Amino acid sequence: MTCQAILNPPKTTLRPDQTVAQAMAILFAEHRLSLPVVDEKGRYRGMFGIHRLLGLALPKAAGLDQAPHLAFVSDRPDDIRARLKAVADQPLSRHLDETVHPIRPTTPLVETLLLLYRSRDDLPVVDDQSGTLVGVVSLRDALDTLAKGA
Amino acid sequence: MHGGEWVPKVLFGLDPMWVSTLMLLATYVIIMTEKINRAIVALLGAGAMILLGVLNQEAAIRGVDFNTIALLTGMMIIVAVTRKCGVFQYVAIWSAKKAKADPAGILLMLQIVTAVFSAFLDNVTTVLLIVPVTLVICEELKIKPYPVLVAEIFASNIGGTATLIGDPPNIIIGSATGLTFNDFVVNLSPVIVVIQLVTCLIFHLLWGRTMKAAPEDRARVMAFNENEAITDRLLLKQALFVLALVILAFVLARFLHLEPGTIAMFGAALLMLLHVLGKPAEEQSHSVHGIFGEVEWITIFFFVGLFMVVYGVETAGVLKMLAEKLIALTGGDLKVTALSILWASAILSAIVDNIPFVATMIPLIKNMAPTFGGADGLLPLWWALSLGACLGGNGTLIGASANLTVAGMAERAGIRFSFIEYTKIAFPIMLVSIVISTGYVWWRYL
Repeated sequence: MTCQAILNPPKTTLRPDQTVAQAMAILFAEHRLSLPVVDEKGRYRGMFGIHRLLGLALPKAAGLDQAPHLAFVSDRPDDIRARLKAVADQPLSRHLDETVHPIRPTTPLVETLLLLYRSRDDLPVVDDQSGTLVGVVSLRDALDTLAKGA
Repeated sequence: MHGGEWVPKVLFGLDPMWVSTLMLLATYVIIMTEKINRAIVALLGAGAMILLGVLNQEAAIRGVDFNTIALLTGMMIIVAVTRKCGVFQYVAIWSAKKAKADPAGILLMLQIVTAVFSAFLDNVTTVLLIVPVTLVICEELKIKPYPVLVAEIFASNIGGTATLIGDPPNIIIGSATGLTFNDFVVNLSPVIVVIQLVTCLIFHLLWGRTMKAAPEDRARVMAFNENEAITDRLLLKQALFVLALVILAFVLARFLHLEPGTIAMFGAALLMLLHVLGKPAEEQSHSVHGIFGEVEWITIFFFVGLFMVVYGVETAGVLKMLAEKLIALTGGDLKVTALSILWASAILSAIVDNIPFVATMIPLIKNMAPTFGGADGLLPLWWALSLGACLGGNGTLIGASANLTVAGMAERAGIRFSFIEYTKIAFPIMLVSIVISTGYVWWRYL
């Protein structure tokens, strides 16, 4: 049994040339935590989602491995909005989340659940040979599918 | 480094001098290519020295300077625990506010803070602690972080030169020669203070005087609450107590008859004890496991392998021969020898890893003792080597580990660090520091 059992074809994808603001609007409209970003040939480029948006709202140092605690920073909501506004018109290609490792269509089901459990986010499924996006396994859909079969 | 008792018996009766030299060169070249992790290369080089018969196993172990290993590991543990309390961030924020959030003042203050931290901590650790706070401050002020980051690279390498524990080359030199913490402070810190001040002036003229921030942005930095950077007040007290104790022991090391490695390891164990005291056994293990995980084992194993490789070359007599040739080249003149070592160390350290270079130079310089009237006659050469090797690292982006660490962090934050652009600015400033060092060594020792 592979991840195919809980795999959904990608309903909505983002393009690398779309702006951060456009992506944010789509994420909110679709009620999604994250969406895959694919190029014009359908090749997977990375993920973009709420987590990345939160990162963009924080000082850049927050993205470092050795990030300090930021309790000393006394920014107000307006300051945080200003950070998001500064990147709103930038293309997604500059802000892809490359920490999400795609899985293969042949990844076993239990391993897929383990990766979902660890990543706490939806996972892209990518064809090894062509690099094209095959689908997405989402936390919600995976549990929904498995629960229905119980 | 150590007196050779083992007589090399190389496979097939090959000449040990040639075989060990080839192994040393191969190790250096592969390290320089950065294609393979340097710890792996050094350990493979050490293994080859044993397998080929340049060293036997006992001789290889004898070649490892365990005082250096203990000092490095002990200080890494102390820093790994101390950093958790946020004291370094506290000082960085406090210094920015003392400068009234004026960009030029912050450029100056962060250099001084970095240099002082670096004198007591490993350079890489220092920049790992300072750079994230620097990025936050620069972002709030809406100023380019690049000048501040370059200045911090310089400060970390300059400050680290001032003490025995500030930079690995000094640790190796101190351990191999018996020079104490006080010896380093007394002999190197005066010139380091001058070099740091001159460097601050250069960076002010180059960048600081034109850096400006809007009043509202400065107000945001002034609103930073540095007290919030302290995450664990009990740990802060424990860490400051142990750090003070360790530094005091370094100062009194000669009277205590303790090696720096012993002091650092004891301090590390004491701090870990205070940190885990009263916690359940499982939590203690988890905590100690995490602390040990922060020790830079790559550096430690790199040193172990490198000491063996260099000992192989030393045992084969290569370094004695090179020392004789160097003396012949300089005519046995102390001035020429010291200044040659200073400048050659600086230029080479800007382009190659200064640790293997210094590890090789130590036994080579020791072999010059008869020419210069014994161990005391070598003192100017040790200070020349330390100044050249530590300060030379500022010359290029690959000259020191701290430089690459800052560049890597900057790139992740979207700030481009180009090798050429950095070298264009850094190499001439590095040369200024070597000119000052030349004057100092000449005036004080020659």
